[in-house]
Amino acid sequence: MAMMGALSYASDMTDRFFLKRPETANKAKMPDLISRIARDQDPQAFQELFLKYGPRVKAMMMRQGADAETAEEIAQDTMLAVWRKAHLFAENKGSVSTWVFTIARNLRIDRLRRQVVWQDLEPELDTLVSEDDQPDVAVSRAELVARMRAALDTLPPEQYEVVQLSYVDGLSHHEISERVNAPLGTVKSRIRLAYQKIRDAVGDDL
Amino acid sequence: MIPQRHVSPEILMSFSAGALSSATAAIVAAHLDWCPVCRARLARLDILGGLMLERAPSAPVNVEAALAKWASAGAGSGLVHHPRGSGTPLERHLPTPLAAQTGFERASIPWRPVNDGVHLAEARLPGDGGLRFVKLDAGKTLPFGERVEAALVLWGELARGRETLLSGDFADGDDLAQGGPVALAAGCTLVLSVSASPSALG
Repeated sequence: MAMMGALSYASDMTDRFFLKRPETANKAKMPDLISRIARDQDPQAFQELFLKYGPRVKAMMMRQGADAETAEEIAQDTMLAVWRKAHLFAENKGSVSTWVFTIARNLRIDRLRRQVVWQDLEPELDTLVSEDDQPDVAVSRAELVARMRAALDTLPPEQYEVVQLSYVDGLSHHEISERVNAPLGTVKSRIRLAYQKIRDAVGDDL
Repeated sequence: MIPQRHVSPEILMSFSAGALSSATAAIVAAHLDWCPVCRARLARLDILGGLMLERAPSAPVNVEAALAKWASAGAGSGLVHHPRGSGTPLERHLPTPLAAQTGFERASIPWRPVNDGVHLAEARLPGDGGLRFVKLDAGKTLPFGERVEAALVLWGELARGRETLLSGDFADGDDLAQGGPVALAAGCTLVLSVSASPSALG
């Protein structure tokens, strides 16, 4: 059974199209906030970071089946984990959004599935860059993120939709198939095509 | 040795999104323990997850409560560290994610014979089903057929058509649906997630 199959979803068919093409993140500022949190335990920086990501984490958790209270707790705990590990953050090794996303995902799985499979995969920032990266050939992290962002913006709507339903709604392939009323094979094909387009955009790094 | 058979993009994306069943996620996690190629791909897919988070809608949050929780947690409290797996095949041990999930070790898997030359052990997972460990004698066919969603070769060699799957190799249901894979030597051991339960063999 897909993990979220028994849970109700806050979204409906109309709600599916809530996502607007991106509001550009303030990329320059977020790492500074992390530094201020790590170095100074700065409550203002913590608050700014929470206001940036907390509402998004909470909304994502609710779309994936959490009630409002649990979603709020996961948002809070995500930012607490960011704070606890802020000293590990290195701007050249990852984006704040990626870090927040992976922490929130792992906390959600721990909370909603009561299992620990993700513990070994928790992305410490010092390992976020793969051992396969070679300094002379690897695309810089910032460039990689920029290319991915641009590639996302050019995905056909049906491919963007399956990526969105995977990441934001946490749906399995079967659940996406039911949601978009398309055969399972079509869903897999759309995901694969989206992956391929993003891979083409970032080179062989995916 | 790096596995030669990797997790498909669509399954790895679902793993990154946290949208796989517990059993399939555990198998993917075990493969990742072995496979630097898939770990690198996952790191990139997690970037995609971060970008999707940036595009997610917002829900109202209680800033005061978050700040109070932060204050009560105390500045400078310890880092919670969960070490990654070794990334190397383990002759005597299960990959860390599987051992953590099941409580099994290689020597303590509770095998029971189900057919001639086929041994089975099941580990229930919280939530949604379980993992099935299968040990095959030489020439025996992998059971469960089309109901296998994902499989990982732990030890030994498995022939699938002209291809041989070795330790750490991952296969999804589409890979295994055609031509029942056959163990090449006694003791070939795999872990499977199966789409329905209980098993026909159980």
